[in-house]
Amino acid sequence: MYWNRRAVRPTHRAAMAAFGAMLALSGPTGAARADELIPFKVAISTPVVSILPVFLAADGGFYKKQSLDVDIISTEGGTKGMQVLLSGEIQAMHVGLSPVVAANAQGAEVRAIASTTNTLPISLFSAKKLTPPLPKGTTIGISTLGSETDIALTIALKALGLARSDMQINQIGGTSQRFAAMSAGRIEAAPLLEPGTTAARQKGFTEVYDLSAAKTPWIFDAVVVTTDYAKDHADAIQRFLKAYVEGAYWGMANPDKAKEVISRRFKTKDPAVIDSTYNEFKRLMPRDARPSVEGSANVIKQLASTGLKLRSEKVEDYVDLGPIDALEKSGFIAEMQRQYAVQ
Amino acid sequence: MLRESYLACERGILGALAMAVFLVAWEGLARGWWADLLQPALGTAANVLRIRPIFLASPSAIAEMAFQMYFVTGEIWPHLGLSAFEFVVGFLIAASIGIPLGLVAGRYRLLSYAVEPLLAALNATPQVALLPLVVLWMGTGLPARIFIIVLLMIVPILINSHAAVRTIDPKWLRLARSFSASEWRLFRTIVLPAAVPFLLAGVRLAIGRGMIGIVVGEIYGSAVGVGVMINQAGSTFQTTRVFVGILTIVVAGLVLSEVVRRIERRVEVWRPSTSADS
Amino acid sequence: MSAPMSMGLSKARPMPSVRLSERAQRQLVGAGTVVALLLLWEGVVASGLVDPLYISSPSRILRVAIDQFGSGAIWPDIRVSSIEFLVGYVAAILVGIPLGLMIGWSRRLNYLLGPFIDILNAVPRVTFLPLLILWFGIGMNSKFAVVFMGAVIPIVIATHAGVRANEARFIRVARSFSASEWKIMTAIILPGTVPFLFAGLKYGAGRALLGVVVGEIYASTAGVGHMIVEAGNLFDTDTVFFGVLLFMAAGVAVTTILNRIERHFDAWRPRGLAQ
Repeated sequence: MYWNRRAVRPTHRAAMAAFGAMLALSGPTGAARADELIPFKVAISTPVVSILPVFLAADGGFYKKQSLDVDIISTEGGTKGMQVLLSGEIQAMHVGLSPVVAANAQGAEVRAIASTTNTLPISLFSAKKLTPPLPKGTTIGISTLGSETDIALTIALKALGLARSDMQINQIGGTSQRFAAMSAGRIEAAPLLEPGTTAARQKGFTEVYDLSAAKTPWIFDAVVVTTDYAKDHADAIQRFLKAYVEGAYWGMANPDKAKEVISRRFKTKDPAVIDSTYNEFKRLMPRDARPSVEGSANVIKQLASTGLKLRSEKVEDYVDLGPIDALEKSGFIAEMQRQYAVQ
Repeated sequence: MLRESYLACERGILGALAMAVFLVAWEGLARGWWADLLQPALGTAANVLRIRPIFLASPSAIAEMAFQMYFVTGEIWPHLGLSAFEFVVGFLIAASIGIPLGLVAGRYRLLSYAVEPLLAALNATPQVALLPLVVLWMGTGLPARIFIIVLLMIVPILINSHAAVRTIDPKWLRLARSFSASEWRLFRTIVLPAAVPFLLAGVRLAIGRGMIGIVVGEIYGSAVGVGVMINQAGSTFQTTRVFVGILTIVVAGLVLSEVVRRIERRVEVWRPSTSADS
Repeated sequence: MSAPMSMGLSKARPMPSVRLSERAQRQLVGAGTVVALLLLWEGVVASGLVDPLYISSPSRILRVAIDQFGSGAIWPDIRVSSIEFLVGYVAAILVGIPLGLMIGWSRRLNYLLGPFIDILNAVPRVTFLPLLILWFGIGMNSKFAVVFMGAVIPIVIATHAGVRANEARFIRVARSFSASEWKIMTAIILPGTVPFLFAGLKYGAGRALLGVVVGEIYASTAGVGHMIVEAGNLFDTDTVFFGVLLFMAAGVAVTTILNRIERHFDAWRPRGLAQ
């Protein structure tokens, strides 16, 4: 067995180069930031108006104020995000109640603990002026199957007297992705919310059905955690909620700063889109971030009516009001109202 | 005597034994048997061995669900039917384009030089990366799914049929030429028989890739298909159904590769000594 | 150039006697075809026959490439995809080769593990993605898993086949000269396995790359596959093609590196086994 010297060396070098490259590539990720901060990963389903407090808390510096090192990722879809939450990769998921109900039906133990949107702020748009509004075979974009946009679409189609099975439903991603896909012609219709709705109206898209007009109580977007995490990390959750609520109040009290955040995070420069997104946020945001019990009951009822076998229809099996109660009892929310003078 | 008969079917016995141990271990994880068993020794740490059904369905639950979906509700059949249809049509298109194109390209030297870099590039590219483009071109319906299957299957078929011709000893061709055999006759009597084993090897690879095509082509869809069913079940956290889907694809894959293996064995005699397939 | 894509070792050297002029001819014709096709592509778009929205064009792709590399915007995605590939693939090699050697060495172990390998080989490992997301999340961990699963099976199977191809011929001779098991392993089995091993490594690399692509298309927050999906949703065909070219370049690079390493092992290969 002889190793030819000339033969070995380049191989060696290649191997070392590969190893070196690996080290160089993996270097920065491993580096921890300040030691005293509690690492906390939160995922949003997509950058839209109903997750704005997550960004406001980051850009207003409130996570740091609460000694949290928060990492925000976007999963482009609620159900996918719920899978990620269950995997333990993140500590909290910002998502509607529907995936919570669906996951718990299959034996997961997750709860919504705070809400930004106790209604359905969704409108179904079509890229073309079609009669009837959505003929058979229309390609409709949603974020992911079973997520809030999907449920909303089901409700809208039913209200329009259309059959879901007649439509081509594609998983596209969040509102901005669906809007872009509609503009590009990749899909013909999609449920949208701000900043997508204003952009869609400007673009001349047809509003086929406005779900928000009905003002149905709902839980469209909420902070969701696993019961295990809630039990073992009550302190981290309180810190997160404090930063999150303060972010929301800071945004409501400082329109200019909040609009900067909207412009940067939602990647839009259009003042009309920014304004209406901001106004929508102020309209939707419950001042105590409390999930609506009536809304929860509606979501549960809706999912039960689609044939999903639920383990229970009790709201407390899907929503945990404990953390928000504790926050209120500590006087934090009253303090926020005083400090930021928001009614 | 006993030992001899054991040795004769040792493979089957050991294989079945390993599978049984594996299934029992898995069932125990899903049902918490091991956690209960080790509770006295390990305390609460034993709960690591208790896995919630949303993460890991137990084999018995999967079997029950499979039975339901196949024989009680029958809901799997439309999914299976459509995926099988995509696969068969995709294969037929890939073979009827890939084989002639590969053989002809391999037969003529200059043509061969021309297509070689293209084949190499095509081979090195993960063709599934073209999925977003295919969706832009044809949407997410049946045509797009079949197209992505063709795209995946045609590569090994094309490459192997091209290589098959290139490995034929030129002496034979020259010999046949000197007997003034026509080009068509040459193809039929020398090129094609020599190419068959290569073609089959290509087909075997294509089948594996076609299965990938089914799963990948159905990522975006939302109606019917085994891949769609798996995604839908995943999105609604129904892990048992995900496993039934995977099981369906496992069985289909095993059956298909067995079929090709049988055909290959039958044509073993034709195989030239240069091609050594594992 | 284009060896058949079989797991085996059909080294198809097209022409038995390669003269220099012929090689030049080959390169000329090959390069000429590629250039001609690129020009045709550009021409079809330039003449307005096909909307570049659907098929882009070489110059538009080049512009995206210059833009992306110039601004450096592409590096984070390349970095994520490379790590996913390297970690999963290296882990597959570290597990696959010893496992393949072991089941090749011990008949009983092969009987025990064979069914599992056959079953995993029969199912595209990307089918497991919905579960892998649930188990490992949307980040790189789930990609490591799918890349590993994709690559490890062909590596095990090829290594196993390599060991078995040896057995009969040489081991008995070595035993009769009372060589130790260790000696047999290092002097005969390993070197004889090398050509098979490389066939497995190349095939495994393809599957690993496929895992990166499909894993990122299925669910991800970064990576070249993620970039392709986002661009696709925006009908940004130029960027989609750019991403596909990056994957093509990665595939060619990995194959070239493995071919190089394999050539260095050629001296190691006992005669009569490889061909």
